Amino acid sequence: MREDQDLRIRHGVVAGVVLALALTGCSSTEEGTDEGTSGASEPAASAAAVDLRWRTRPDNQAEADVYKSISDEITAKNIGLNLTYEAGNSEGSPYQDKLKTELSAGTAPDVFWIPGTDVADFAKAGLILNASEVASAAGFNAADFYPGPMDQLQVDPATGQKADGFLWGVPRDVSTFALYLNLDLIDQAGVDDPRELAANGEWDWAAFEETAKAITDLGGGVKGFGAGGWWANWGYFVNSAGGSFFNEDRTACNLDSDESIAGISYFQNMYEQGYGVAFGEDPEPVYKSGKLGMFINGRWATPGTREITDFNWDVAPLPTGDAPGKNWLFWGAYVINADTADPAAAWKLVQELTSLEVQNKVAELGANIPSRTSADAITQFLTYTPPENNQAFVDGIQNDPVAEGPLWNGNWPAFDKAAGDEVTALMNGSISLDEYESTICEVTAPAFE
Amino acid sequence: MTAGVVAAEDRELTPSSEQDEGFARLLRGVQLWHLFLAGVSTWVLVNIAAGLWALPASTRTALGIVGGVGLALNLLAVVLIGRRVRAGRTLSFAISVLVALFAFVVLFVQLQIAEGLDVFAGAFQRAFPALLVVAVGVVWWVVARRIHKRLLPPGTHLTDEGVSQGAVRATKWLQWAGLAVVGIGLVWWLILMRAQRALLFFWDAISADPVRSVAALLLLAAAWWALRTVISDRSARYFEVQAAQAEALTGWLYLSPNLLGFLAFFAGPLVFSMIISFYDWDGITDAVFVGIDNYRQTLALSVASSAEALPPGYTEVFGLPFSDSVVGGTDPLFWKSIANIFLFLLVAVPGAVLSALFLAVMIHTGYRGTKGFRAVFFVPAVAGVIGVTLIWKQMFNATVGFINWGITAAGQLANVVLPGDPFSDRIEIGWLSDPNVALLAVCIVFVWSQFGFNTVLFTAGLQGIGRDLYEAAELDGCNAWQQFRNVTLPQLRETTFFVTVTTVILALQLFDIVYALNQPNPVGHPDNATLTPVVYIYQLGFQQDAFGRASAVAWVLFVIIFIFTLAQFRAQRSDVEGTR
Repeated sequence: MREDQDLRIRHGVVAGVVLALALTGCSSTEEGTDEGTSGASEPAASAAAVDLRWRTRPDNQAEADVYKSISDEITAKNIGLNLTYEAGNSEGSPYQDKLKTELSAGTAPDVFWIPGTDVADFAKAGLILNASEVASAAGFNAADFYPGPMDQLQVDPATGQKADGFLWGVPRDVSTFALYLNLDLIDQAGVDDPRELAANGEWDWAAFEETAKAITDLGGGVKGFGAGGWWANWGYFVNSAGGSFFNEDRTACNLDSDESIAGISYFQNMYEQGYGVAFGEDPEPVYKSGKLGMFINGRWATPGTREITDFNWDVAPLPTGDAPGKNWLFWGAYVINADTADPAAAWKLVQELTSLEVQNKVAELGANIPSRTSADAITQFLTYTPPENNQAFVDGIQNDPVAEGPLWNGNWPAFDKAAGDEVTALMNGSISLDEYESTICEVTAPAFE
Repeated sequence: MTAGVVAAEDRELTPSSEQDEGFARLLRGVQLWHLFLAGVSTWVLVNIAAGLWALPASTRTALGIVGGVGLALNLLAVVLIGRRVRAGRTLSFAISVLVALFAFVVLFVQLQIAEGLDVFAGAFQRAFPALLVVAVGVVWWVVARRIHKRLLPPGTHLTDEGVSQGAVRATKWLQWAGLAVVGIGLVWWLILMRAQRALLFFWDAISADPVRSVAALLLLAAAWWALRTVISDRSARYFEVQAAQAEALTGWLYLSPNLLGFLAFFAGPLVFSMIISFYDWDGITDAVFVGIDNYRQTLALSVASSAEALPPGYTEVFGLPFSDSVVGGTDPLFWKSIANIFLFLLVAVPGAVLSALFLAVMIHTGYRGTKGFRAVFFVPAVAGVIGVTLIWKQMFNATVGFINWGITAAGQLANVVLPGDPFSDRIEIGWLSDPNVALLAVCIVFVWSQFGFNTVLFTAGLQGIGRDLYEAAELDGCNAWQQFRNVTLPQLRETTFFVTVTTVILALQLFDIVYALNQPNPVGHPDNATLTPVVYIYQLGFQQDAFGRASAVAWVLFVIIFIFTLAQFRAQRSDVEGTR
């Protein structure tokens, strides 16, 4: 009898705990998570508000928090949107992998950010909405944004060319490369400051090589320059030499043109001379340890670089080749899920998320540059220091940049993989420059089939 | 034998006529339940056949199959139960389990339990202090209960001589006090977790689609009632089922969540990947049947006198030895990944097995301090692979990594004693950027992450070797090496086999280490030197949207792993037979 009573008490305790779990498991949805994600903490919205989920790929937790607060503020404006923000993982391709899986399963958010290079793949697969109609109805003006990304967002997938009646999204922000400098090493090497050389129009490839050599000559493992192994790093030198990845209408490879070869040859030579952190090694820890003079990286590296206290740093424009400018204009866009229940509401959200006010809030954190071209946006961006020389980024996006492009008449991931493998083989000495020249467009050809 | 008499293991459950009549009425309820399910199946079939539901073709086909099978099986269950056939009981059981699971899933989604759990996890930290109070209360209650039992053992009464009534009552009150602490803790927890909003949450979830919620709840309740009825002892007696068979059904009930999970999340995708390997599919648009083309494109090889003489679409994979001929393939990256993984096996598996064996023997010898290292050796096995690999990545950095720093320091030390200073002032091995050593870096991380677990297995094996064998060997004059060679190794044969097989399988499935070491470069970097079959599958599937090709490569990898494992089993068996 007593055993039965004990058993009943035990069952009672367990049942109590389980009930508590069940109740509390679903209890906090209004008060929300201080912990980061999701719709747990949405402020009250008007009764007629449309429920929408949206997602970005923030660069860090601070940015995720800002997006979360932006989401809550838009909901609180009572403009008919009841938002749930989902922070995607901060870097790496799994962001897109997960998104595609969710799109395939019908569980993706209504509005999401994707990198510019992926827009074509998503549009051609019918995963994102052509927002042209809802945008026109809302009076959207494409000229408010940088033309490079907007051109790529208004392409007819059937022809691969810009056409009326197509709008696949709106750029969330833009970015570009700059040269992150270790001013102490440059000073020790006794060379001219790249910022001054750039101001005088003397910051060219020869000066870059001379500076890298002088810094490397300091010895003790110090390197002149570092660059990542991915396409944009070697790609800048291809573009800057007057070459390009693709032909004029982006239907074939152009990496074997004389200019493209000149660019990649210069880049290869810099490594062969020993001026760079080994190609494919991550230069960031080397830079942060104070052993790297110049580091090619985007605006997204600024928040991490701001943590450096061991040496003085700033940024300079990339060195100029035969073709002036030609820095990359990186971008990503807010796009609308093709299966969203309310395209008009989704478009309203896109407009809210790409307003200057929202863009400035994100840009203030340091990782991004507003995608709007207005003077206000630029003026405000220049105040977000350090680095002191934010003008280097503005020059990068305004001086005839090359917008990173989706491959409307091909498969960008396949092109990236094939070209990347070949460039890596060249940099590692597995193939010669002549072999590279004869094979690069052959190996990338399947990406256009 | 009379009804209800239990004969240990194999009792017969004999029916009695009175019980039969009562239970037959219950079973008519179960039959009605199956008739209802047959009706639902018919409704689904009619809607599908009449085209009333606008569904994709694949979904329509699947629903049609479910409806057809459901109708047939439920009618069969009605007939078999009516005829008192044992199979009817089993069939009813299986159907009710599936329906209960279906209803549970619908309720789970409808009540947004997953989202709730997510929020729960987030709010857990905030309410943790209250949980500590609950824990204190539980411990309090358990301790008081034990003391109470000691003071008043089972079979004794409060009025018995020698029983301290005051102490017993005190412990009883202490038990209640412990439960009160638990209650207070739970209430505090509920407040901290804002449980008062839970009812509103559930109400909102149910209000969103009340018909579906109530239907799912009723379906779950009905399925549960039918289940309880058909697996009850009365049911066993009614159907004249042997006890062992009755218990087996209960066993299946307990097994069903795991079994259904296995079928849904492992066997199902496995079969799906086999099917999709015969299709060209990007994961989103309709799949196109291509027969064995994915396999042909993966495996096709051709031999030619030179790379230029290869047929169109073929790229040189490797040159034949002792001739100018080359072997070309339509998918050189696949062959590259295969070559990489075999090279990896050659280095990493012996490394992970032999290092573990050495460490296990060292621990087993009982040298001072070695026992303390057991836990240390096991750390890699429990550490998160991605996190650990990222640390390795920093250490492998050619310019500022600890490994090159250590090698450089060792070189400088050697320069002190060696003539001509053979080592340079700065050794910068491109562990992650040089295609000649990148795979070695992966091997090092793999061996490091595996040897701890393998050491534990070997240690367990060593503890199973009788001390008498070593004593006999000592009497025969064997030295330590001979004892190891002739006693330890043969006795560890089965452990070594298990360790080797599992390590080989893990090695063939290598992905996470390569993925983490390569970031932010493309996986397989540099120059595809670290491209493994699973990495290649990932690239094909998730980066190039070629899920058909990826599935074909996955099945080719499965065959390779199967052959490897089979060969190892055969070798082990012949080894054992040879020693008999």
